[in-house]
Amino acid sequence: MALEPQARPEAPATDGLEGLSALLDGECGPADAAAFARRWRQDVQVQQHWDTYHLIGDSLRSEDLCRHVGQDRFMSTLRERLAAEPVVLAPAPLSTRRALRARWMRPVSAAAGVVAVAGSVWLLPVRQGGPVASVASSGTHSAPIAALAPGNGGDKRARTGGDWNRYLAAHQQFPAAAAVVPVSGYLRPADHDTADH
Amino acid sequence: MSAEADVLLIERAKSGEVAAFEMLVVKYRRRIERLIGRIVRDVDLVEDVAQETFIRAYRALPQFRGDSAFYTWLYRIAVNTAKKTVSDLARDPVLTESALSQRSEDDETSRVDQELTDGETPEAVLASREIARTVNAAMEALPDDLRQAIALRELEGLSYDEIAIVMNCPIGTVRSRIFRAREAIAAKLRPLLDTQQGRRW
Repeated sequence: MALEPQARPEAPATDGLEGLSALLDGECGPADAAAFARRWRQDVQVQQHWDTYHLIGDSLRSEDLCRHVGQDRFMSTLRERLAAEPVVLAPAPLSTRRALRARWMRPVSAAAGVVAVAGSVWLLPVRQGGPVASVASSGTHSAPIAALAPGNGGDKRARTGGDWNRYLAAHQQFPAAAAVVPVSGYLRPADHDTADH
Repeated sequence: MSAEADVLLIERAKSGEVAAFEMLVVKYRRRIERLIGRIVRDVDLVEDVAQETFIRAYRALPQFRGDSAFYTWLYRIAVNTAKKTVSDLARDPVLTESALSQRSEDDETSRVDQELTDGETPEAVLASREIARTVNAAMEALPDDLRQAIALRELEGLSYDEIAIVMNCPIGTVRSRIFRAREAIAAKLRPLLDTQQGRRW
């Protein structure tokens, strides 16, 4: 393995390796990591220092790891095998993908919420004009039904259907029963207009 | 051990830079081989199983999501690879050189290498002790500020920020002290390593 020609021959032997020491500790930026990864194959000094720094750390932490392993044969075999493998190309770095997803999901979720609320608000007046909504929102259940009677200013669609109007007029005496359907034993139909009749 | 350093190198390896993966191999090889040695218990197979472990890890790298630390993920691959090797050997036994040497005719006398749990040779054990002695002596010979900085980093696992607070100095000084400490120990260690292995790379 040939040494990469030094850019500055007069520089000390450890020139630039402080960054390698920081990389070992995870205390450098991606640019430094990229720079050392690029130097790795050509620069035997980087390889030796990287190995020795790790041996020092391992030796300080555990007696079991005070073991010098010859890297040359192992690495040359591994390189041959890695060269035969397809190149690893993950679609995108994990952190970038997560950051992108988080960046898009928040405004999209907020927009979906706004659209849902806006849709409800937009639909509400339309439904309030209809017969069923007016039953629920009015103080007396019989009034809107009565408004549907011919000549009483009711819904145009209702007024145009003569059969429909006749049907509603015939059933005015059951407004509350028609509007409130008991769903359990705790609910009872109550007609507020009973006292008026 | 630093997970942050792994993340930087894993991202490079995932983008197709094999050299970054090789840096991870050098970092973890000792620990992976120790782990494999405890399962396989045949020194001749340890290196092959380690190779297979790293190849499998390289293949699976795109699936590594970072949910656990890289070394945890790598250890799991190593354990599975070693267990598979053991079960394959149980089905189709192969006598390795070291296995044969342990069954030689003069078995009645107690041989040192048979007493070693992972089949290391006496020479390897001696070399390991020499490395430990050299590292410890080099640590003792360091100036106080350098020794304290590298001890806080390597033994206590503190970040540079935390060491700066403990030592009441700028982060740049911490970085410089740790580097100088490593270089001072490496200078003592290098002749020993070159003697043990000849050319290391």
